[in-house]
Amino acid sequence: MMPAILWQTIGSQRRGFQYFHIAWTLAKRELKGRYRGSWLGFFWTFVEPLLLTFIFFFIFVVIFRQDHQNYLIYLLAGMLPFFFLNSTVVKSTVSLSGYASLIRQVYCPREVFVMVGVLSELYHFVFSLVVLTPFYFYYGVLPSWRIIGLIPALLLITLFSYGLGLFCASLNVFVRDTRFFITLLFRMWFYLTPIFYTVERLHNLGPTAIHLYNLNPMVPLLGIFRWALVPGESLPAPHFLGIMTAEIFLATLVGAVFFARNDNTAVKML
Amino acid sequence: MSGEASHQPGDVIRCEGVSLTFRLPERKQGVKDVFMSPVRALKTREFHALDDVSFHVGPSEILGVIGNNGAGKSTLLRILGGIYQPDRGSVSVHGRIGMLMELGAGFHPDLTGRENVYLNASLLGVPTSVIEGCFDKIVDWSGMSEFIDMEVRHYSSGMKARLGFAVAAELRPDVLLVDEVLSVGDADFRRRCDQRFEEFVAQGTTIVLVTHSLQLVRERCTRALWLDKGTVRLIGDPDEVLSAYQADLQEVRNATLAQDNEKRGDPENAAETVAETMELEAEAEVEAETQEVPEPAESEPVAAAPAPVIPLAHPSDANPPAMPAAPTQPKRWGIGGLRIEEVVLRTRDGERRYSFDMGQYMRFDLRFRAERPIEKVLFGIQLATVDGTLATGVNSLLQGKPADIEPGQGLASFEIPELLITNGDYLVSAFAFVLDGGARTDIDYWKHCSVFEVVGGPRWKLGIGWLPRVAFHQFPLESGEQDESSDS
Repeated sequence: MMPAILWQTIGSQRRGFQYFHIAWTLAKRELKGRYRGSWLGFFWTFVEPLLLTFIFFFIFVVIFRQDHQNYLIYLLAGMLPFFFLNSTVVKSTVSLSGYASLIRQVYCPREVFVMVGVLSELYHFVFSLVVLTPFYFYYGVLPSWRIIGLIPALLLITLFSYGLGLFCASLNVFVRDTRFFITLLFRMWFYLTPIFYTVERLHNLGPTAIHLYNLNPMVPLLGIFRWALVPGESLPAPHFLGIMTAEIFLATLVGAVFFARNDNTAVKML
Repeated sequence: MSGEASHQPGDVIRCEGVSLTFRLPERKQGVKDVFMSPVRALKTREFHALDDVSFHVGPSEILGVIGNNGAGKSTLLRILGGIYQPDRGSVSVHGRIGMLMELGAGFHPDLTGRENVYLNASLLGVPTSVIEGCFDKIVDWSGMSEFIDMEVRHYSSGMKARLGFAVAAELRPDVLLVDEVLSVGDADFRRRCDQRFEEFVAQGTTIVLVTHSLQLVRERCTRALWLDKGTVRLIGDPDEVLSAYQADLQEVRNATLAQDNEKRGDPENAAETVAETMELEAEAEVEAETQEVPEPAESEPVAAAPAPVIPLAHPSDANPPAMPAAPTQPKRWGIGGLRIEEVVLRTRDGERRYSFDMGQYMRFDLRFRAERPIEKVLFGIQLATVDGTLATGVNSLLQGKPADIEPGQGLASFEIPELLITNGDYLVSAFAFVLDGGARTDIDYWKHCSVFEVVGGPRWKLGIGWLPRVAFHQFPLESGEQDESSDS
């Protein structure tokens, strides 16, 4: 027997997806409006990761002699997905308060406003992957058939960001500190995740530490991204992949339940 | 479309025992508050926005929702529109719902007018192809073609209302929920809205209209719903509901005024002052001066209670040039020997009231107590507007009746058969005085001791006074007559 709250959550999500086209309209608008009035416009999508790549290149290749053979591809293949998750969750956190005027004026399932953040950031993320191209030329390598691994990786990270986004969006209505807390949390998470360093570096810590480390779902998830994008990377161990998938589904479920449960209270507080 | 199919015989809107409670924190909370005073931080205030509201609305009805601010009108619309879910009770609305809330009709400020039209339509469930077909008509009707590609945040509320109403009008929802939108438009917009309303009714659209314009309810609505503190006070024929609502407004006002009067009538509250007189000749003042000035606080003979004493600057205080706006505080002065204890405002039936209809009977009862026999005492009242402007007055000298007062209680009464001052609030000053060879000496002057309101006056207030039985004639003058007058 499924508890009533699950049915409520399913109903809430179904209503949300019936209004998916609204989310799409708003997301398109957000993308259009983002760089309006700026000189570089859409190129900012590439400028930011490129600039960060050069910074990390300087620190880890020039100074610390990082010896990964395709280091910059490796770095970007981890950084871009992580930034996608980061910016989606931050954007979702303020989505309900940001769209409060609309929410108070006309009926629209509130899930839609979390979807807006996910959609616009996803679009942005997929395009920013183009940044990898010059680095393939630089290292003289090409992505192989394994690039299809992007599909499950994208699905998982999108689901994850939606789930976390739902949770934070709802929480932020009650506790306005959430948005500041989230920013800090992601900064810590960034260092706990192999983005500018490799997992191999931690092998001397022993198997227990590695197991614990892999409980961070972003570790195996970035592993899939790297397997798909970085030549010579191997897929994380199957049990790590399994645990990661379970964690992401669980997090999404918790986020959706939390959102559905608080939806009616939250809308009254906007 | 789906809207057509969902038309059912019977009610379009059903509200059964709907209740909604807001739980609001006592004040805005931060982490600091939670740590500093966790008990207070977690305390919430419950606000019953709606309590057991039930009503039905049939097809092509226009229901006008009236009530004071905070009565729950907008909350009710949000529940009908599905934005809020009721805590208790059930709501069902058949058909496509269009909403025009107070500021901006479901518009997002960051989107342009054009984008908002599309967004609004898709929120109504209208496919994009249909909107494209009637987009030009919408823009035409709203008269917003110049601004349609501008972000809505730059729109005025009138512009938002125009566009919102145009979308709603063109997309023909089955149910239209309108919140005070029509009042922001200009005359031309309102005229066209009126026209649209007739079309809506002809199409069978059901409208729920929240408004403060009682005239709109009277003219347009088939029924009216009066919400009061979240409950239904009355629902039914607009004229009936409106007159009950207006009567209640007057009653509430009367109660507020009664409270104000209670404070004014309290002797503790009146700023007692040393003797102040209005003599033209100085010698009459001597008596007062010698009696009062040396020790004002102790020797105040009329002070029933230790009242605060403020030294009065000038005798002209009786009619100060710049009186602060309401609430004007009461003041009193006088040589004493007789004290006005209470000023009661009564209707013809003797009922104590603070709200009177213009042109009706009104009576001022001045209850006083004399401490010693005084000869030839005169009583008077003056009425001033809340900014202190003297409106009119009356005293017993005009009636030629100076009275010799014996010690003890007495009553002086002014009967006004026809109250010919126009609507507004008036401050009452009551006083007793004696004339001593042309000079006036105030025995007790109680300034602004009471306040009352006049209602039901002319639609356009032209001034304080009212000229009764005015006749108006208009006719052309014959040209010969005109020539004659100019010749002479």
